[in-house]
Amino acid sequence: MTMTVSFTPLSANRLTAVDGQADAALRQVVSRALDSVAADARANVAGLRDAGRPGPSALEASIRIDPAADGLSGSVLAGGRDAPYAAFVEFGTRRAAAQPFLGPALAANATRICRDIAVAVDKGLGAAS
Amino acid sequence: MSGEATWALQKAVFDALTGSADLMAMVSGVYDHVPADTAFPYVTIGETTVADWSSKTFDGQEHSLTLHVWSRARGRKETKEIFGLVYAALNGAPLSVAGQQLVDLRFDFAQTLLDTDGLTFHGVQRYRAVTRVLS
Repeated sequence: MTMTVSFTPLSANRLTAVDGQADAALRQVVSRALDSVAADARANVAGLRDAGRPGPSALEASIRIDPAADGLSGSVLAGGRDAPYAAFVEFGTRRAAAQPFLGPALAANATRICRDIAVAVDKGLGAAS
Repeated sequence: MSGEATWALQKAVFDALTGSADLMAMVSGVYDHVPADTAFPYVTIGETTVADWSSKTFDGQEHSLTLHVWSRARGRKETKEIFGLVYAALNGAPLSVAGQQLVDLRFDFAQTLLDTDGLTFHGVQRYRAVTRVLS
């Protein structure tokens, strides 16, 4: 199961000239966003876990980030070999209620991420003008 | 934060779905709590996440609403057809939400899973809604 935080690099018309100015700031925004969403998702999983249950959480440990090569997009991933049930926790089953941990993590960060993108683009525009 | 908007939105979504003749011809019902022995396929209204969307001049909320489709058909075709009917009923629809102005209602994402019972296809659709409190 993959949850993606992605951004489209500036490329159209007059904004093309701004790319170089904004990219560095956007890469920082993307990096911070991925780290923040992943951290919140891990915290959500920790909150779901029964108190007193021993040992590390395989689901929590499976949450990782996957930035794109250009640094302008990336994904927060959960699941895989050690926690193949991640999607069933997030979305539920017929017999078990959903306990979303990734969606709320993204929602909690979305407003700030959008604001940070706007600031990064504004700075890029200012530097290019 | 008041729960009034999210409940009013759920009621409006329920009304929109149950008001779709095409959808209701295909599913046994739309549920919050699913009665025992409910016939497949059916739709359930699932989890909601709400965030503040207020400004200096108005109070508003951003909702992430999850809907579930449950099907016992062979393959994903039925689930995806129901997805289409739910989308037609909700995406961009000017729903009447009590006490609120529905600023926007948009499809966010969909995913299909084979449930842990190995028999049931589970479709998940998420919508983003923005509501503004009517003064």
